Amino acid sequence: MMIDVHNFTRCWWWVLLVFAALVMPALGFAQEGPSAGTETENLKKAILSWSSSLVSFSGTYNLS
Amino acid sequence: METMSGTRPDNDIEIYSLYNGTLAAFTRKKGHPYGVANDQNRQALPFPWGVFITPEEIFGRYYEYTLADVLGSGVSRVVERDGLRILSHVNPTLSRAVDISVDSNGHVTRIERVRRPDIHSQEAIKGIWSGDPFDLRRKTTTLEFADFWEIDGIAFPAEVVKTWWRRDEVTVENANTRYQAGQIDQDELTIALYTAPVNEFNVQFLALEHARLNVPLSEEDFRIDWPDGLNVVDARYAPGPGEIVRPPLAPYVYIAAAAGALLVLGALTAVIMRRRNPWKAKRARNRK
Repeated sequence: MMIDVHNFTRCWWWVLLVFAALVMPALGFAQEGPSAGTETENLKKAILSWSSSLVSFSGTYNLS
Repeated sequence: METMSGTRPDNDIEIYSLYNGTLAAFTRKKGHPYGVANDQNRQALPFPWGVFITPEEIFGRYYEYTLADVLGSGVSRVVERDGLRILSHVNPTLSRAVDISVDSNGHVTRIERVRRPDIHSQEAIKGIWSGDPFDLRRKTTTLEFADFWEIDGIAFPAEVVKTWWRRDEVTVENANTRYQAGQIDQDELTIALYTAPVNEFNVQFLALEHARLNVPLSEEDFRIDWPDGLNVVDARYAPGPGEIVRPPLAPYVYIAAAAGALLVLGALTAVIMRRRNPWKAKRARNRK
């Protein structure tokens, strides 16, 4: 089956769709901000990264 | 090893060293020093978990579970309060709930252990609870962190305050009484119990003096430098519960015992030799 290149390229909306899908998100226009789920996961990852950083402890401290 | 020196009046000292299940301890309370070595098969330091603020707890451990265990499954959400982002997590499998506050620098500034209604209760009270589900919680402990030091590449709080909370018993009792009298239903009781005020009943403070993190440690690092003249009890030979403590004997006691044993042995040998020599015995009888 041959692709009709002429007709394919005439579909201008196709170009617009590719632009909207790839270029705009990269420029940050298409995103209002990180989704709630992503924010939660990122925060959880950051907390776990800090939490798991302690392997051994050596030192002194005052308690009262 | 934990070394704790406080501002207590008589400057008590408690040093505990736990290495591969073997515990050593040096304590000096009210001026009386005491040392125990080789206490084996110990799984934990000799006080209940949570009594002292430990580095592990600062980094999220709570009893037997690490923060990774608790956050490993369950439901999370992020809320914002007082300019802080709070990761609120419930792990129904482990029956644990924790609210972790993070400041704009990315530092964990507060870890709160809380109790929350179970999922079914939360669904049931949606119709009558107009507030944020986050506020349906009962605090049990709060760890607050401040003055972060960058130690070996890790942010470590030099000041920690731990607050233990207790529910206001009057409020709880009133709610239970009203429920038993049929004045409120189960869902209203749930709301009352999880919005009841809490009162602090114990506050602990920790001030870091010096620390290093993630330094490779060896058994030598867990050795306690016993003070000169301290009588250290070896737990392997120490009397068990109910047994009599035998005071250590002075060296001359052993020398006297050895000399006595030699004398007895010599006397016995002399008697035996005399009986085995019939000529000597006969001559002795003839003289008589």
